[in-house]
Amino acid sequence: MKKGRILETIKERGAKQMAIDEAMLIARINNLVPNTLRFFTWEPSAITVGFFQDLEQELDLQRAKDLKVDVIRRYSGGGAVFHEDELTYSLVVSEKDISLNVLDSYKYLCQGVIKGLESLGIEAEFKPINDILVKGKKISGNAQTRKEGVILQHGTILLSVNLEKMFSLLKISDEKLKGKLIASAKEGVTSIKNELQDKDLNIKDLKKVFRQGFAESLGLEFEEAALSKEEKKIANELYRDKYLSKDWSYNQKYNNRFYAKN
Amino acid sequence: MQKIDYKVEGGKFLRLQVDMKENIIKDIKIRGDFFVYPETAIFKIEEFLKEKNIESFESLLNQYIKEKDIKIIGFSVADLKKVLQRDN
Repeated sequence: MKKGRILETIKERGAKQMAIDEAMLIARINNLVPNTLRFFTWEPSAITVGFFQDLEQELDLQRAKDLKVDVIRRYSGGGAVFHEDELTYSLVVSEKDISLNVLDSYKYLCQGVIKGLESLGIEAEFKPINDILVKGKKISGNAQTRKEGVILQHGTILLSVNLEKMFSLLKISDEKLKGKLIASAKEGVTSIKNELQDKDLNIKDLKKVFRQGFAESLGLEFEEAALSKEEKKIANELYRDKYLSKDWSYNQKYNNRFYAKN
Repeated sequence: MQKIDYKVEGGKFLRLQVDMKENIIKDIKIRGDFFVYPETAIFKIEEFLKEKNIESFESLLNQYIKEKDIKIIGFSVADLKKVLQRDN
């Protein structure tokens, strides 16, 4: 069986997590590391927007500040996501190992999450373009970027949901509309705790379950490893100069010296 | 800039900021929760659309996207045209 890496689960600021994800991508491009899976959690809570979203149009930035919620622009496209009580995964794989177009690869790579949920007793299904549903309700959102022959896909696995907090961070000028959106999201979103009625889930066990799910679906044997020295260096630079910068957060601008072409 | 929001059927949410004079696009920002590969191609598309007529840009942009091997997921060029025509 092909070998991959699984990294330690880090609880960190969102900007750092996004920097580590991108550092893994860059290291994979340069063949410094094998295909890699990791799980992580967010401390403090954060809200991320997709590459193509207008930060000020989507988010109530003052509210985020007041609630001490970090605001970060992801490298990947997709929508705004509030990250609090969730397990997040990120996966870096070479396009050579998964020769699928973007739409098909979403379905394929999401199988790891679906298998993990199944072994928890939660039946889930993939819903195009990039969601995973349980009985019609969203439990996981996923996003991927591709650079120089390598895929980075990351996604959320919701442990619980706080829709009021989430919607308070989104910019929806009409209060009546906001109420309606929360009501319909309550019908449309679920979480592991919701499904299992079990409040004492621990991250370690969940990580095992989803690790197994990805190992089976990808046909990879994961070996535990630490982030390499090179990745740490790249992650620190991207954290400081890119993901914490206003130029990136507001204007999608960062001149990345790590890629052959921008 | 005029702001136009449009939910694509079976796709993503398009949030355009656009300046048009008659039928000519003077400036446009294409934002939303879609995906474009490579991501920075969105700025090239925006640049390409400047001074184009909303009645005639569709085939030109499709050709440009094909030439540059750009992939868009969540909306189509036809959707973009529909939104611009509708709100002009």
